[in-house]
Amino acid sequence: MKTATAWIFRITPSISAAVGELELVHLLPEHPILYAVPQAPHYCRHVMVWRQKIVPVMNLAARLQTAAGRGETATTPTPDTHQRLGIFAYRDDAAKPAYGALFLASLPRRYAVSDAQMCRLPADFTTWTPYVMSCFQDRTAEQAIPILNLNRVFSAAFQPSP
Amino acid sequence: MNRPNDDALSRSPRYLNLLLQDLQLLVPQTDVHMLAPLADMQPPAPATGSSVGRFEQSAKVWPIYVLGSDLTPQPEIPDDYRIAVLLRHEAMPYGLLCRQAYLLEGSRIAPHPLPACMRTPQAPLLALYGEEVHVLSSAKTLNRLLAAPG
Repeated sequence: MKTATAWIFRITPSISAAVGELELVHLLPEHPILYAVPQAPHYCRHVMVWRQKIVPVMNLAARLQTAAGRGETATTPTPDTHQRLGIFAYRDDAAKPAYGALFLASLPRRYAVSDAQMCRLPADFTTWTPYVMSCFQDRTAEQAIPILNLNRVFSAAFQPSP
Repeated sequence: MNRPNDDALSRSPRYLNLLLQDLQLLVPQTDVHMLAPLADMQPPAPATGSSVGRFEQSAKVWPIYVLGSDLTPQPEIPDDYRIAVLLRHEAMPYGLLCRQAYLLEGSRIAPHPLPACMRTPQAPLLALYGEEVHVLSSAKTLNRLLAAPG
């Protein structure tokens, strides 16, 4: 049976997500200087500088709330709810290396996932569909964990269907 | 992908850096008519929308605006705003107030496209100057924001 290693982290106190082992490239222990970008979407209003690159800083929970048509809440993570920023690496549509940061509500933990743990995305996660590659059952926490498609997460603004 | 005029905006030999409250805004030097002290500003002309004052020179009038961190006009002048930057714009010359304004060499500024997930029709470009992120725009683009309904 094939296994792979993932990082699992919370994006809100109750919702977790995962990425591949090599996609989480840096965990920032303290909040770096964030620069506000005028006219940017409410779920991604800031950028930061990381290794001479300008990196978007996203509140993924707020993005998913928008995708669910729940308006513009949960825009400002606080130190109480989001202690960390993670830098993630992915390939963009042109297959070039790209980077983005997410506010995290917990420290990431490594987790070995086997093929047997793959599962369907639960019904209450349907708004995640555009941003998810697959889903697995976390036997430790006994919950389904969506695996993020980082290129989609950091792609153009979500456009709800008319 | 860059938008029309973004390439030209990214290649100015010099930029004026306007320090706003929590934003550093770069505009090409060629878009700048002159700098003037706030003390010389006159009250706004009637029917000039959200302007906070005006400058007059050679029978021309520049309505003056204060921009917030989202680049939309604000009604109040922050206490530490001292300088008016009068901008060139064919249809409607106008000016912006700021804390400070100084020139930066274009060769030391690295324009950077806005990350894909942040792009909106009115969002500006970004630029890296050393370890600092600046917002890069033009008199023409900023004027569209002034004209946009609030």
